[in-house]
Amino acid sequence: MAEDLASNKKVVYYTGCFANYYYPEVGEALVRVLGKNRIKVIVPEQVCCGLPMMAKGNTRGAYKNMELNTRVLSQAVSDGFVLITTCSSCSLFLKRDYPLWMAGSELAKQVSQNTYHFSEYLLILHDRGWLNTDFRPLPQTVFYHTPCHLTAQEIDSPTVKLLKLIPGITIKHVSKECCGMGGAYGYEKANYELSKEIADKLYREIKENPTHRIVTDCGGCKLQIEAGTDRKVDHPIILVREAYGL
Amino acid sequence: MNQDLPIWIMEPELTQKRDLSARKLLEGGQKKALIPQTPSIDDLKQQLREIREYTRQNIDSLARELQTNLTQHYPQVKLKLAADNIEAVRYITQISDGIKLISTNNSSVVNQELKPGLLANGFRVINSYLDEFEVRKKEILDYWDLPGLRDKNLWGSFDVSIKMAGLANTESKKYLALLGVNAIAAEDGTVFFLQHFSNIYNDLKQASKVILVVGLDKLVKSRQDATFQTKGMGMFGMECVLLGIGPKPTKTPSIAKLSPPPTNKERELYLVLLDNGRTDLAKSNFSDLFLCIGCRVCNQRCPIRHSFDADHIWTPKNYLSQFLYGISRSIDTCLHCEACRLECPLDIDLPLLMWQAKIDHAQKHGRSLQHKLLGMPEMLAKLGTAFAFLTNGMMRTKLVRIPMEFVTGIDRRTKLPRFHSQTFRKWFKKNG
Repeated sequence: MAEDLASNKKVVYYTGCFANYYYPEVGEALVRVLGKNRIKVIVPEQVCCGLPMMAKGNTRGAYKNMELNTRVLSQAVSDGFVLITTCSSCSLFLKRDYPLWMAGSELAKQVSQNTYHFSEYLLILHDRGWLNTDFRPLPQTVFYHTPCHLTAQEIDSPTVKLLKLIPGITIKHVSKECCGMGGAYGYEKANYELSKEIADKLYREIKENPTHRIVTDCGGCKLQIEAGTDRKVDHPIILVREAYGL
Repeated sequence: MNQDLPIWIMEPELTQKRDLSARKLLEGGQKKALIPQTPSIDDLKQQLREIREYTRQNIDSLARELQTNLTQHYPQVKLKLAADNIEAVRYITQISDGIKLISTNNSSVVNQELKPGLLANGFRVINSYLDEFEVRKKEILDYWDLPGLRDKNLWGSFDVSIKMAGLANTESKKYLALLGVNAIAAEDGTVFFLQHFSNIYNDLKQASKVILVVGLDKLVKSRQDATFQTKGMGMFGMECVLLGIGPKPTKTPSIAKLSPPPTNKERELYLVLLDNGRTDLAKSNFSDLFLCIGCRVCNQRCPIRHSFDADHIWTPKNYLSQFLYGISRSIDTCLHCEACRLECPLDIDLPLLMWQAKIDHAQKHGRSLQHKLLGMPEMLAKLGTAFAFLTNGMMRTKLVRIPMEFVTGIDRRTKLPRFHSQTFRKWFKKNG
């Protein structure tokens, strides 16, 4: 069971495409943070989770990827590892969609049941008294944007709870407005205007709530916010790393 | 003498809730047991699901039962079975007797499936709900528009407020009322409407011809189930009933000023039972859509709803079902945020169904080159990374972005992320 695996303190980091190709600092920060907590981390062979492929009707490609990931990740689960991601869309897809698209696959179910969003996992460690809370104060205000795909996991804002453990951090505003990016959706010419129109509400919220930092778990949301506000947006693991002084 | 068709209108009745609170205060103590308990939201959902599951599994027999009951007990109601919207529009045109003005309620069946054909046949279609909206303007204090009502569980505040038997024998006006019903009981034909203002009641009282439109999915077994379902629609959907619509921008003919028909003919009641793909849908991979009670709460947090310039209430559920019925051509505007799934009281997995529909469509009709390219994001990322020293600079020049927009569909104005020659996984191999 997933609960028991967490106590093994062994994780597979499922990087997803964004942290691997576009934002490697996130992966590096996660490895450092896990190291600080004496958690063993491995990064086995893996491919795109399949979500963006499915979204564009590339079912054959998506299934191929889901099968490869399921094989590798379920093997790791059998070896006592839990699976963690830093991308809320990857974690949603692994948790929710793998068992739906691969109905009847026990291995996909295993992957689903043992996948955690990174903050969700760190909070489990914290609940058991295993999280190193030797944080140095970060006297900063934070605007936190909740990605839709994190809300869709119905796990009750783990990232906000995690950031609140860091002394000095004030979460000034938690937004749940959709940013309109939807992966590649906002890039497409056909959707560009609408995507920005959707984002306007979020842009306004950011303007009305000025903070030192803007934080979100999703790469797509990060790009959309940066494009519309000219502000730098950080992944929350970057703040955790800073709080550890790493 | 035949009976007349029962037409019941349900409205939110806050006085009932107030009376209940007063009774609780006055009669508390030992009489507390007399006060009906409000069912929990989970119980309500469970019961709604049972009602809808029954409809999904028994749609053919329910439709037969309704037809038999209507023919036997209410022969004065002119019944028409329409296989599709074309047949329904043809029938309405045929019975219209030259009347060209149609008043509708907010029903999506009427507005999305029938209205386009009626307009094409030269009818003028007005939404009498919006007509009242103009009178009242959009007031934020309208409690149907307040957030957080669903969680307050206003189950007890909805009830049947008007019970009609057929059409009232009142002075009529020369127009047609085309009203999509919210539920109908197969066992006795009782028709249910959920009403916010008074537009439906007015149309039932005034129109010289009233045409009730029943999408097959609105059928339920009993009057009790129909009451429950309509209440559920009101309770779960009341925050959403005003979403996406506002006071109408232009003047439409006012029904109040219309004259009565020249001859003193008796008012006529029609009932169109519309299939339009529903029987097939109930037996398809998309049969979960049949569980819908029409509460429109899927609209609540949908980020794209504002983009549909509709004069009816747009919902993601209707967006998908209209696509499946072949009425609309695309569902590509959905950005798959999954908010609709979280809101649905019947747990309909709209995002999954939306994807399934896209996939089925792509398998039948193929995919565009742009979707083929965007459907291989990791390959694109690998290419970009391999030539990061070139791509990062090139992606910022118009010389590249304009042809790139043409080939990939990626808008030239978007700010693309930077590629890194050292990916995280490469870094981890060295440092992990």
